[in-house]
Amino acid sequence: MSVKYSRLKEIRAGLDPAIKEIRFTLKRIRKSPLSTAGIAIILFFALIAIFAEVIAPPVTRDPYMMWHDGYSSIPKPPGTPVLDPIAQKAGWTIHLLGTSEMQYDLLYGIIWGTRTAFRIGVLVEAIAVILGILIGSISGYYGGVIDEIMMRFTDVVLAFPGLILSMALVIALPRVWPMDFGFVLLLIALSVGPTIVGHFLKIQGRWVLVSTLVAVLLFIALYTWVLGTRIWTINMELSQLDKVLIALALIGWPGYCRVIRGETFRVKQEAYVEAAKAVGCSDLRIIARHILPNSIYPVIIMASLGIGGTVLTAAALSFLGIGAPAGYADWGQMISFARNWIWAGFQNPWQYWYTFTIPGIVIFFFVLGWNLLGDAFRDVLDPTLRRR
Amino acid sequence: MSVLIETRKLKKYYPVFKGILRRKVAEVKAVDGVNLKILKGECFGLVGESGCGKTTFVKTILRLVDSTAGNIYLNVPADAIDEIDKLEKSGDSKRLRELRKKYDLTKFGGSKLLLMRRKMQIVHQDPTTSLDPRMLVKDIVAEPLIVQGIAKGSTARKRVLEILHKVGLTERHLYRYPHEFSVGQRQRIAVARALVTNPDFVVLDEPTSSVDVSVRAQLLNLFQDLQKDFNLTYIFVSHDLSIVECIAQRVAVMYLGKIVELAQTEELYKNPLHPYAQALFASIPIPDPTVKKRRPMLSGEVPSPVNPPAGCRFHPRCPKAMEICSRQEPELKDIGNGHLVACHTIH
Amino acid sequence: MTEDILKVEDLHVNFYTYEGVVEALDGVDLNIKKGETLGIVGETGCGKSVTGLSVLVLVPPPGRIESGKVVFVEKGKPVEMLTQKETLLRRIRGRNISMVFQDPRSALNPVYTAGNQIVEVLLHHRIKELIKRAIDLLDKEIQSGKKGFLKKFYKNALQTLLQNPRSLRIAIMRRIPILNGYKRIVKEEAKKEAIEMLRLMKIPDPERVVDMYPHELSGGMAQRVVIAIALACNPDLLIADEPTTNLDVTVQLQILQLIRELKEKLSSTIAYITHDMGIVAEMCDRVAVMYAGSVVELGDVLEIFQNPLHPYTKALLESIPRPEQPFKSIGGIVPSLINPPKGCRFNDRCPYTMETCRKVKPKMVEIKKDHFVECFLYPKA
Repeated sequence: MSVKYSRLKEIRAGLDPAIKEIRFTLKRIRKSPLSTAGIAIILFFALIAIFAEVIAPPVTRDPYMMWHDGYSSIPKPPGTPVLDPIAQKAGWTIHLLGTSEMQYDLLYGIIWGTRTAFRIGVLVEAIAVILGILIGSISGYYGGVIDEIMMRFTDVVLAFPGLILSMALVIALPRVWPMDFGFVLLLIALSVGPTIVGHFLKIQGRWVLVSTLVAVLLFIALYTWVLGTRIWTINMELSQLDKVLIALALIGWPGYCRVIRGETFRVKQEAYVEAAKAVGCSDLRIIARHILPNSIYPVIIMASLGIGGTVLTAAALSFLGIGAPAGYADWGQMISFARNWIWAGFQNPWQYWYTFTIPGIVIFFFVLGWNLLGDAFRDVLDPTLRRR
Repeated sequence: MSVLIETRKLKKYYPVFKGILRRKVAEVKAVDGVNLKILKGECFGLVGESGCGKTTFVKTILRLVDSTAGNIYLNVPADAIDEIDKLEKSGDSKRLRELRKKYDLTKFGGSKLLLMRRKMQIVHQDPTTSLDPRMLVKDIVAEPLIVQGIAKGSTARKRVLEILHKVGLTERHLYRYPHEFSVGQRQRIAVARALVTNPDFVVLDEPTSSVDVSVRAQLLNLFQDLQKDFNLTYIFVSHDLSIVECIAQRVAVMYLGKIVELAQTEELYKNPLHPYAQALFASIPIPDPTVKKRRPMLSGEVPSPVNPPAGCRFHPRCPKAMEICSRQEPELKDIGNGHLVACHTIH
Repeated sequence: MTEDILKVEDLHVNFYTYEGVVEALDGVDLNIKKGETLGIVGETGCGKSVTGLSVLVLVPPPGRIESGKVVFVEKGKPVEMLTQKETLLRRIRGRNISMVFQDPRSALNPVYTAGNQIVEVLLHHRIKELIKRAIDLLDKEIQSGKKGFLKKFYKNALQTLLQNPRSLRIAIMRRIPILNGYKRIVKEEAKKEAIEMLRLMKIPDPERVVDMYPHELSGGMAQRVVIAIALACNPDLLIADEPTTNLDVTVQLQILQLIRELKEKLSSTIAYITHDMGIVAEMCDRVAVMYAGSVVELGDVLEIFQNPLHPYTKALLESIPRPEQPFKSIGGIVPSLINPPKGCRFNDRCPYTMETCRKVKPKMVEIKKDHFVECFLYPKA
């Protein structure tokens, strides 16, 4: 039978088994009510984030800085009418959920805070996952000295309590950071270099390590002693939120690194990796094509749970005052504004309950949604429970 | 028939580290000096019990495991081998080193090794773990072509289909995951992957031990047909002696890292000379209830290859052990008709 | 005519899995005569292990025994296993019927020594005997004049224990450190018995082996320990589920010889489950051939090998590799038991399939004396 190689047919036919797998996954998710609940919650939040401009029309020029209705510092209860004429023109008539200190509208803050939450959560986890995968898979695949060095480095980061370290990092990161690009290149070279070099020179194993280590050492020597000055320095402007992102990502990656390393050890022993070596696959190809797809499941589950955790940590940082800048649409920010209003005297102490309860509940549901999703992933993707 | 593979004094030792300073205290002598010649176009059987080193040996030939010492010559022209022989005796080390660098498989690296890998392939024991569960069949079988740079895209697809037809699968099977197939079909996919680069020889590492009896025969028939069609050479490693009897032309018996006997299949099964081989063949259960029941000839079990006994490795368990057996290791000697034995009691 | 020691009638076992209901056993009929070795042979997935577990009513969830009868004759009295209470079953398991599993390493608990595991079985089933022996030992020691205050005390305690296991004295003494030393004496007796068992298993140097952990033992030794545990209480019936599959072929021969000798010495009955026809020919007196959840042929071993009646048995015997002959395989694959084919489950692979085979499942009929087949090719005798 003649073989017609049509790219389009390829793609469509190639999707079929993938589609079958996705359908199987979805069916299994649907069977568990908690998982469906998790997905529903996240979808709900996602819709709010996407349609934020429609649901809560922006009033100020930068929609992320919450508008405030006047300057009174006493929060107003839900139902108070909006006084600011600009806000009224934009479409606001009453404060549906009340206002917080400095008259920030709570509903606006919640809705735009959803966007911030997604941004922080997803970005931080993505960076942490990528870093973790890079270091973890290399460390796990080669073992030996490389593994020891990388693991000690990871241990250093893990030794600090996460929240404290992130606080320290946020405070220490300057507003304008002269990032030494050369150093970053060095780090990348150390971690990924051996595999890439080996792929192109078609060598595997020990020789790759030795040769690349030698090259890297030469580079360090050249850089530090011979040149002395910094080259490739880029001045990066960091907003407060960027600092939070970087700090949280830097404390998040060791967890993924350890998981991927453990999984890499397991997958390395499997027969199909040996079969791939017998065929002549370079280390890079084995890691990228064979080891990573088979070791990614725990990471997916961790990442889902981690998004919730990151949002919580960011909220904590905001509450402590070193997270998002004042007035930024961030749930943690909103709770930090309620700091003085949690207890309002002995008569009617919970008078201003809405200032902290409402953002708190929103955070709770957001994190719950991701946790349920993570559990759903775990149940569905557990290889022993699937039919494979 | 010409020699396809020749191994000389092939050794693989694994170090054993103990103590806080991780010093080497002992060595596991998995393969301890194996000299073997495998002829082109034959099916060579390699049998032995667990721990004898047969799997390590074939993996060393395939360079999946790096040998500790010894040479492997794959498809080397006869005059080069002759010259190497002469030089080994006379001792012109410079020319010897040159030749070895050119022909010795253990010294290959980089792209040279990559090219050699086309010629030698392996079919693993358990097809469930030897196929990547996250790859489609079409990718699994096409991977060798892409990695070796032989073909891409539509040319690769054509070749993949060709091979799949030869092992009895069709186009419908291209876009599926391995777990959707039965064990026998998975093994066929593994065979297809092994043959797609048109290798000279294929190592079959116990390929039928994870399949049912009814599927076993199908696979064995497939191996024989493919051997004829593609003019392959097989190294059939197995602990199932009855299957090896039916499919191999020559068989070697390994014990604790050394070959103790090698002969034509019929000759070996009818007339084993080495005491271990005798005990081994006598312990195959015979599916005939009228045959007299056998008594075990050996006591104890295979000792660990960490500290093999001095002299002949088999002498502590050997019913015919003599005094010399505990002092001196017997050499593999040809006693005629290609029948080699390593035993003091024979010579 | 020797009577049956075990009779299985129309056993149905289902496994309720995520993918569906696996009809593992679909009407298994077989009987084991006292003193014989019955071979249960079949490919992977035919249900032979499940049959073995069902006899002991040990089918793990999600499996469930749906219907059928399993009658075990204990000292002349028939006991219907499937309707018994758990306490009675626990008394039978290990003492009257015991089982040897396929992988010795996973059958042994890795955190207890080999001796400990044999002692555990002995203490559970043969406690009275061991107490009596301990009393005799203490008697001898007292009479031989050694200082005997504590010993008299222990002897007293043991005698009370023997007569009145629930006495208040024992209940109190049990927990107090020096007073409960009688336990130690009984355990030592048990350990001596364990060493004797290991010696019976032809394990060299049993005093050393009894304190070794399973990971220190080689495969053959570990399997001998498992057999020792199984035979510790001299059971009437031993079910051996592929005990030599994971072992080297020379060790396999040793273990088979050992099982043969022990069977002679202890005059027990063996149900030997395997997929190797060679072992069946060597070890068994009668053979039950299973396919996809039911016994398709049952008869004397010579009959089965020389005169197989069921098409599956014939194909199985033909597929044994012989030199100088092409390999004969059985076309098709074993059907999935989640939606098994209607009628005879062999119908899609059988060269002699008829219309009835696709509709109705054949019943077990006796064609010749003591040779049963489940096949429509053979009209009822």
